[in-house]
Amino acid sequence: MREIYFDNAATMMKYREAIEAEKNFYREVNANPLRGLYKKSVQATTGVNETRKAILELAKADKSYTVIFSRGTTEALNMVANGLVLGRDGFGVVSKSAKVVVDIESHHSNILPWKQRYKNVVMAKKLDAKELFAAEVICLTGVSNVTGQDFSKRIKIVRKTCPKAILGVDAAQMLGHTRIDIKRLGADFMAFSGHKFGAPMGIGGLIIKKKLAEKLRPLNFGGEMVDSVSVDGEPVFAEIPERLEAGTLSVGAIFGLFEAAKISKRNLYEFRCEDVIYGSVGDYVSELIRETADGLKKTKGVKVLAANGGIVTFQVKGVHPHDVAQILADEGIAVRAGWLCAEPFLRYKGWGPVVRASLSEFNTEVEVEKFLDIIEKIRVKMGVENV
Amino acid sequence: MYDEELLERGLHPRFRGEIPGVEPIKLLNASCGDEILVYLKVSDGKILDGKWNGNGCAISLASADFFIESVVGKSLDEAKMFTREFSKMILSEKYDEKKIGAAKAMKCVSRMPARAKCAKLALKSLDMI
Ligand SMILES: Cc1ncc(COP(=O)(O)O)c(C=O)c1O
Repeated sequence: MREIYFDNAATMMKYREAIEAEKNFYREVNANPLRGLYKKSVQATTGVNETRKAILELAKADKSYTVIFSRGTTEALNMVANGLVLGRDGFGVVSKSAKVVVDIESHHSNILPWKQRYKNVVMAKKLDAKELFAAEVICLTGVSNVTGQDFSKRIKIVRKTCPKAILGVDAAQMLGHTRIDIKRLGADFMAFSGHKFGAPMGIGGLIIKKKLAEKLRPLNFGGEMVDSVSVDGEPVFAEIPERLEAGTLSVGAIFGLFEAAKISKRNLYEFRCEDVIYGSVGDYVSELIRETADGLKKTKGVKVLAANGGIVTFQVKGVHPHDVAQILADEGIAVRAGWLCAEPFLRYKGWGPVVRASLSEFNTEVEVEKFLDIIEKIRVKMGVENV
Repeated sequence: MYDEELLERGLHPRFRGEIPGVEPIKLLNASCGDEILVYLKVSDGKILDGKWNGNGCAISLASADFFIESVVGKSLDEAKMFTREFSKMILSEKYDEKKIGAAKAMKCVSRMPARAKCAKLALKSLDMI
């Protein structure tokens, strides 16, 4: 039985091109970037730099921005949260007592890195002037991994309210999925994960204003991030972006990321008619989501909580979300259930744990129909049809 | 899918409730949102009575019920022996079937590794007495 994969918001189904590029890197190049003078090392370096460019293009970022690679969004947010704290070493911008604002919709990885480092972290529910007052750092969800809602407009408004604050975006669900203009958003940095838009796992990073990146304290110290090391004296650190990328990067994944960025850009800005029946890929996925949501709404005992972008979030009356997910799993359908790494938000909404189906361009209408068929039978199967 | 008996037990538990005067032990399954309260009346190292209450998935509810059924009347040591064998069953390890009793309905969980923590939730109360 071929599994139906409806958990693309956790990690998207991968592009064949991205998998091939990663594999080919190790088969044909396999050299560390930056230091080697031989041809393959130069090839690796070129690939890494081309990928930086492709990522910048995907966010319409100009020359005032750069890309710092990390393992993904989580590490990128930790890099900023940690790196911004002023220290005697000269790095950092704000003190530990600075007011940091994140939105209630935040994924745990946009909450914990801040709470670990700062004493005054506000989880804003409305993002009004009162909540934002005197905020020095603001980091907001780009697209919610719970509701699929796109918060671009809200981010722009926050930027207007707080022109001086350092403004970041958790773009884990955003980059590669929506048209982004980082300048118009007004963001100083944006964290992303390649695996969320068809690239391999283990690669992501920051799209960040060079001026801000200059001030960040590196999360890691070691090779590749330093120009000169002596026995006694102070080390001479490399320039950004290398200064913030100590150690050997996941270069195969970076080669894969390049392909995913290229395909996503084409998906977002051109039609991809060979694979998709109509419209842009975004339209195609939205249409599938609409069908899924409509079908769920018609099913007795099912409550649809949100349906946007590639995400439908719902509950089945009388059946715990994990039981819903288990029944679907037994029928070969992969969905996610529980707190979705956004417990404060689900509690705030009064929803509790939920079931999330998240689709991508690789899904089909036939799959949606099969999914709906099973959902319809769940309450009978669990013996709660009369609840 | 789930064993019929497991489902049935989750839907119609026999030991759901409270014991007045007994401080409940609160167990949380953070990633699922399960919340189970376990009431154990213990005297002289023996479990005289037990009840549970709360919300959760079919597995955590059924397992709480089987847990109470299995440990009431046992000494704490015997009860721990039961939970050890039960855990082994859930984790697909070799276990002593004789010690499991009615809780064998939970065996189907052994092929759902991500659900082991649901099945073991109520059991943790023994370590928290
Ligand atoms: C909104 C959001 N932020 C952050 C993350 C964390 O991403 P990663 O696990 O790739 O670091 C995710 C993915 O789970 C997410 O959906």
